[in-house]
Amino acid sequence: MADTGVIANEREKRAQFMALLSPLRERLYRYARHIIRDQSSAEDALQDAILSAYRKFETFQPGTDFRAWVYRFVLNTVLNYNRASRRDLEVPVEPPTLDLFQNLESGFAYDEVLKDPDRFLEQVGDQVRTAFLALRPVEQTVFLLRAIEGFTYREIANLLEIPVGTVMSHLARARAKLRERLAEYAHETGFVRGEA
Amino acid sequence: MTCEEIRTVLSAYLDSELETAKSLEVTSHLEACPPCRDRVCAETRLERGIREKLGCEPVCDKFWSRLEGSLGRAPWRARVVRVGTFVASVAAAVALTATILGTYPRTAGAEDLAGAALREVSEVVPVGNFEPAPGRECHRCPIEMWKSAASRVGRPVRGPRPDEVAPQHRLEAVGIVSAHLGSREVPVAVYRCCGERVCVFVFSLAVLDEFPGARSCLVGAGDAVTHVGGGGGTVALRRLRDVVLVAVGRHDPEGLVRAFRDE
Repeated sequence: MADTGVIANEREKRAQFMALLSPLRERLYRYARHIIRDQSSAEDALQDAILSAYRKFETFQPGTDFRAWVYRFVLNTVLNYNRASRRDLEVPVEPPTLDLFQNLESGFAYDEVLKDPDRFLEQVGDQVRTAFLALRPVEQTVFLLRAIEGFTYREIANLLEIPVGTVMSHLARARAKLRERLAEYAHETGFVRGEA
Repeated sequence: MTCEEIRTVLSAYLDSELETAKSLEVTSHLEACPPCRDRVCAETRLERGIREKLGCEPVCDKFWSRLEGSLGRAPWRARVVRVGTFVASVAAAVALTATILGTYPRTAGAEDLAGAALREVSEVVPVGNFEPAPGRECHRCPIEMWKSAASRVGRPVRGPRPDEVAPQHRLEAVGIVSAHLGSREVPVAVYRCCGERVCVFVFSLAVLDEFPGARSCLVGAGDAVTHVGGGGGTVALRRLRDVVLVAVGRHDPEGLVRAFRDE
């Protein structure tokens, strides 16, 4: 009898967990895929995170924000995976650009992009993703949480356990880097010259 | 507010994160300044475009059905895929080596590396002496070693296909040595993983009879993983039925433990 009770409770727990998780499935999956390039690694990380969340589901307080609760697990796991992946790949970190002329050029190119962003977006394909992947993990995370997932600065700060000001700094830096990369791409491909 | 000041707060404004008073200031500036207004429109369109381009990853339904199926299982059962993946990575490394084999490169460095790895092991593993067996040559053929390992544990050791192994778990075979674990000799596969050395010991649970502490450690952990060791080393133990896999390495501890562990 006791066993039956345990099984019933387990079923109920799973049903409740899945009911809350289902609306977030696509978002969580995409988040993991954005941060971890390799599909199977991303799925591994997400699986780890979801299983951890499920095992600690008893600590979730009904009526509170399940999305924020489950994202905490996913963020921690995915960032850990990402750190390891980055070491594996030995991707060199580019130093910040100090070349004044290059900065001026990028600024000019970006202004040109802004003159017709739709046409520019039609031309770029993987470059957006490449530019995104060149960001630091924390910048990728903050950008995704804000731009894709729609978390507020305060929510992101709580999730990552960092001050709101730091969230804003990371976000500003992420956007500036994306902007700079896309401007460089516009410049390289002649988009800017085409406009001139 | 000047146009320059507007630019500094534009991100927060577009994110609706600016405090009300400042937000109103920006709005009134935008109403009166066509260039800034155009810039805001363009920035909004560009960010929306970036969002759309980043947000178009297809979602894998198989993944979710597999995950849903694993919820509620005992921890070690839920993670069988993971352990299988690790074993698979070893098997994949073996298979890969075998294909390019016949002539596994007899580099002098491999033996040194294996010996050095074992010395590292002896520093961090609290059970027994892991020095290579005296007079025993370092076998050069991983596939032979794997067969030998399988015969010692009494059943084949295998895992999923190589293409199912995540890249960060792929191991590069370095060489095979044997080591004494108490009075027994056990095969030790030495691999490289994440740029560091990993030793995989394969032996039957009975071997641990000689090491009550180690056995109780394993038994006490049930089927889950025990993470022991410390300092610069990491030891991850995993019991699969009657087979014990012990990975020892100095590479990314999180990755190594994750490869074995159920939290």
